[in-house]
Amino acid sequence: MDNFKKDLYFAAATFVCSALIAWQSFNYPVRSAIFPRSLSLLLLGLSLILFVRGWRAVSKGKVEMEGAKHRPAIWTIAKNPAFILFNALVLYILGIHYVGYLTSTAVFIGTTMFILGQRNPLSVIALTLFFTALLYYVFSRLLGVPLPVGLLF
Amino acid sequence: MKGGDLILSNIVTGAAILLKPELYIVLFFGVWAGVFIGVLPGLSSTMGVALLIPVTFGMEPSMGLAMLGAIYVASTYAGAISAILINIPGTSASIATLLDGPALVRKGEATRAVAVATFVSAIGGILSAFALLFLAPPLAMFSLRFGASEYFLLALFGITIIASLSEESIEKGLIAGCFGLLLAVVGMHPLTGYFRFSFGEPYLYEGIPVIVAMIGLYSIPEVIDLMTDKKHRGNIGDMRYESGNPFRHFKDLIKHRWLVLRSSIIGIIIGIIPGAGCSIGGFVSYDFAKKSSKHPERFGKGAIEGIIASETANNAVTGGSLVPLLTLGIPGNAVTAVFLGGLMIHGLRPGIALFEKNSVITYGFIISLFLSNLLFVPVGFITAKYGIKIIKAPVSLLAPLIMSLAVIGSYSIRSSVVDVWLMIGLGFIGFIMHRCSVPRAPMVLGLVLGSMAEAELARAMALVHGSAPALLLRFLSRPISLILVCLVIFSIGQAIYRQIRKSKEQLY
Repeated sequence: MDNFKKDLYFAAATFVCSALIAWQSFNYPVRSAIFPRSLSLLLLGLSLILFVRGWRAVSKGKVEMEGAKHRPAIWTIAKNPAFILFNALVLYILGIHYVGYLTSTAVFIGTTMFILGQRNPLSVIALTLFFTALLYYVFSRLLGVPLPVGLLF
Repeated sequence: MKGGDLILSNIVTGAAILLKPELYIVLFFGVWAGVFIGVLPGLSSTMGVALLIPVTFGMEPSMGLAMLGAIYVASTYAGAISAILINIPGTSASIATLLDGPALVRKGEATRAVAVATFVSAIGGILSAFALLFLAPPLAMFSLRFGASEYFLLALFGITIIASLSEESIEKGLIAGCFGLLLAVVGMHPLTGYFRFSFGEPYLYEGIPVIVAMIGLYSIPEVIDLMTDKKHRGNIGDMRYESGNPFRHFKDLIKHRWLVLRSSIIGIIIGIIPGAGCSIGGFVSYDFAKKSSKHPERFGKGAIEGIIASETANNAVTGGSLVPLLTLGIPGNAVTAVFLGGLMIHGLRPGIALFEKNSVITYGFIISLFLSNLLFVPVGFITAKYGIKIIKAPVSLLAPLIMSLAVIGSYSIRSSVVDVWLMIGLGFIGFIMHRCSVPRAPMVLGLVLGSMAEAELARAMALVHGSAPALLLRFLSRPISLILVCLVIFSIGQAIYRQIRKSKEQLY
C-alpha cells in the first residue's frame, strides 16, 4: 500500500482513538482528567494535520486512490504472517487458561514450527520438548517465576 | 584527617577486597547472570537484581553487593546486544540503541556495532564509578535540589526529544509520543488516586509496565517481518560477525572520545536524579549527540555516534543512580530501589555513615564496580558471537522461540496473564505503526516519561495553589529550572527550524 494511503488510514484511526479517549476522559473528575484530555485533544489536531497532508498528496496526483481493487481472497488472508501469528498467540494464551503453561507452550512451539515449514516430525518433537524444558528450567527453576497453571492441569 | 586524605585512605582500605579470591568468583557469576538477563527480552535489570538478592543472603556484605552490582551493570549493557542484533531491546536501557544499531547491522557492520557498544558501555560505567568514588557527597547535594518543577521540566525536555526522534514526519512522531503519554495515564492518578482507563481490571490499577510495552511493540512486528521475509531474512540475513579481532574497532572510541566523555557526564547527571532511569539517559545523550553533530542526517540510519551516545550514557547512569542511594537512601531508579532492599538485608543503612562506619564495605563495593565494567567486555563478545549463530537459525525455529520468550517474559513481570494480553495488544499496535512507518521509540519514551510529567506537574501546581503565572515564575526563578526551560526552548526551536528547512527543501 502506498505511503500516503497508509498515512490517511493511520490518521483516521488515530482520530477515532483520540475521540474515544477524549469522550472517556469526560467521565473522570476534572483534576484527574486534565492530562489525558489535553493529550487526546492534541492527538485530534495532529491526526487532522496528518490527514490533510496525506489528502493533499493524493489530490496533487502523487498517488492514485483507486480504492480496494484487488481484495485478497480469504485463503490469502489466512496465509498472512500477521494473521497466523496473532491467531496463534491468542490460542496460546487461551490454552494456558485451560491446560497450563507447559502444555500450551509445547503445542504452540510445535504447531508454529510446522506451519512455518519444519516438516521433519522427529525434529519438531525433539526441538519442542527441548525448548519447552529450557524455558521451564530458566524461568521456573533458575529465576523462581511461578508458571501459570490451567483449569484442567 | 582532611576530607581528601580520608577518601584516599578509605579507598586503599576498600581495595583490600581485590585480594579476596571469592570476589572474582562472585563477579564472574554476577556478570554472566547480568549479561544473560540483559540479552533476553522480557527480563529486566530490576528483575535480575531482585531475583538474585536471596542468593546473597549467606555471603559477606561486600561480596553480596559486588555480585548485585555486577548484575546491574552487565544487564544494563547486555540489552544492547539484542537491540543491535535482533531489533528487540533486551532492557529498557537500550531503547535508544535501536535507532542506529539495527541499521548498522543492515550495512554489514554487526561486529563494529556490538564492539563499540561494549567498549563505550564499559567506559561509561567506569567513569560513573569514578564519580561515585570521589564525588558522591557533592553530587548527592545536587540531586536534593531537584523539586517538582525541575522534575516536570526534565520530563518536558525528554518529551521534546520525541520531535527530534521523528524527523521523517514530525506529526507521526508526536502522535506516537502522545499515545505513549496516554499509556502512562492508565492506572491511578498520582495525587487524586482516581483510576483512569483501567475499566475495573485490578492489574491495570498500577498502569502498564514499560517492559511489557517494549516487548510487544518490538518483538511481534520483528517476528512478523521474519516470517514475511523468510528467504532474504532482512536484517539477520545480512549479519556478519567476523571472527577477527573486535578490538580493532576501538579506534572509533578514540575518534569520538569527546562524545564518549560528554555522554558519560550526561548519564551520570541523569543517574543522580532520582526517578530518571537508564532509558532517559540514553535518549537525552542521543539527542545531544545528534543536535551537536555536523551530520545529524546520518542519525537513525546507522550512525556509530548514535550507539556511542546512547550506550555510554545508559551505563554511566548506573554509577550515578547509586549516588543518591548510598548517600541519602533515595533510590535513583527501580533497580536501585531493589538494591536498597539488598543493603538492608546485609544490615547496612544508607547515608553518610555508610561512607564512614562501613567504609571498607562501601568502598570495596564501588571498586568492584570497576572490575564488573571490565569483565562484561569479554563476556559480551562471547555472547554476541554465539548469539548470532543462534539467530541465524531457520525462521521456523526462531519465530516460535522469540514469541514463547516474549510471552513468559511479559508474564514474569507481575505473574499476570493480563500483561501477556497487553503485550499482544501493544504488539498489534506496534505492527500497525511499523507498517505505517510510524516510529515506535517516541511511544516508549512517552510511556517512560508520562507518569513523571503528570505527577510532577500536579505537584508543582499544588505548590503554587494552581496559579499558572506563579508556576511560570517558579520555573524562571530557580537556577536548575531556568536551565531546563532554556533547554526545552532550544530543543523545540531546533525541531521547528529543521521542519521548516525540510519543507523548503521539498518545495525546491
